[in-house]
Amino acid sequence: MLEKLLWILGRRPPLDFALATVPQAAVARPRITYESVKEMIEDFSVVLGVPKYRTSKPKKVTRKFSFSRLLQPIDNLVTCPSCSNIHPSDSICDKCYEKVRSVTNEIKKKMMEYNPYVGDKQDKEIFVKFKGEEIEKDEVVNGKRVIELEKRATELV
Amino acid sequence: MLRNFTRASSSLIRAGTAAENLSAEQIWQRRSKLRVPKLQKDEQLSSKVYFAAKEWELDKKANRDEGEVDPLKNYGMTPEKWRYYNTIVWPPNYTVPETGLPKTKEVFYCQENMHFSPKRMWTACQLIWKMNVDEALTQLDLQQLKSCTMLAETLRKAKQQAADEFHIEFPSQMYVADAFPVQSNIVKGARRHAHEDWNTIRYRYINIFVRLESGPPPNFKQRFAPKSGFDHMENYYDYLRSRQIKYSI
Repeated sequence: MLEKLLWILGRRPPLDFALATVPQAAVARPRITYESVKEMIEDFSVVLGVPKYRTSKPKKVTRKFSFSRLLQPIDNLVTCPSCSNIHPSDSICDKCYEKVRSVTNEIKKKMMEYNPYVGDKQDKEIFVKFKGEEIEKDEVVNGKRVIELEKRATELV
Repeated sequence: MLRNFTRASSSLIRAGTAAENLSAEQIWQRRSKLRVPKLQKDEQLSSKVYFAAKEWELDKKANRDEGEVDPLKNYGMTPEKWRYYNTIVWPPNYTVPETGLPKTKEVFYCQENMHFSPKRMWTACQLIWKMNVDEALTQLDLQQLKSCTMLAETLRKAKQQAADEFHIEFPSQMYVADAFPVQSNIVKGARRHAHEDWNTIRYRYINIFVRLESGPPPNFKQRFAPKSGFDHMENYYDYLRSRQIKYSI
């Protein structure tokens, strides 16, 4: 049985195992010699890593549903002082950030609304003007590109 | 003067041991005593104090299908069995004689036929098991998993049922006593792999069962409270003191 396995794997069978299993006259196989014990073990190691007994259902279940596979509750929770949203202490409040993110994305979108075929370039500094605000001083805006947003500044807070 | 002192002290003692003034630890110490295994001959069965409007028909199937009832088949928890517990009525302000505590208010809720794997839902249920309801909801919202989102939805509905149907005054003061998924249905589909190798896909549907109980939650997930260093110390002292020199002169 062992010999057959080794033949299938394309390995030479070790020593004269044929003597133990099958009469010598019936099967004529070349005598194999190994140079060292290590080589023999290396050849044989194919059949060594095999389960001896079947794992019982309780054992399988304890392995699959063990403590290392459980979800851990998050301990470092903190309440945001402005919006009282709960979040981990090592990150910023996601609700507060969402407001900032939406405004930033709007600014970015408006910044990209230029037509290079008509001669517009992205060479000027940006000034963001919120809805409802009036630009009083010309020095602030002079030489800059004004981006007008539909949102009000109070929505950020 | 002595009489006044004893009266005051006795009232204080009475106030201290009243059921309302017990801490979560003390409540769960009393409740854990009932979980200690007893021999059948030492068991004292209590009389039936609760009332159920409809008797559970043992000779009929839970889902009212036709056929004979085989206890080895369909033995798990079903939505019908779970909801039956909601129909049981206890006497008002009933105190459990074994613990001396008032009977806790229980809400049994079941969410049927959710398309999810029962094994993956189990981890989410284990997270919130024996946790206060609000705390459980915050934890589930912070875990970015589909199972946690579904379970949070179920918990919210259970809390709503507690407030609307059962008229519980403070549903936020309840804790999740039981949470587990049970597979209800499998729909099989086919999937083709390379070299015309076809395999079946199993679309699993689950029923999520949740039981909310009033009162403070236990701070441990095990059956009994874990022993502290002082408890181990006392056990060690008991062992040392129990040693005897046998067959001595």
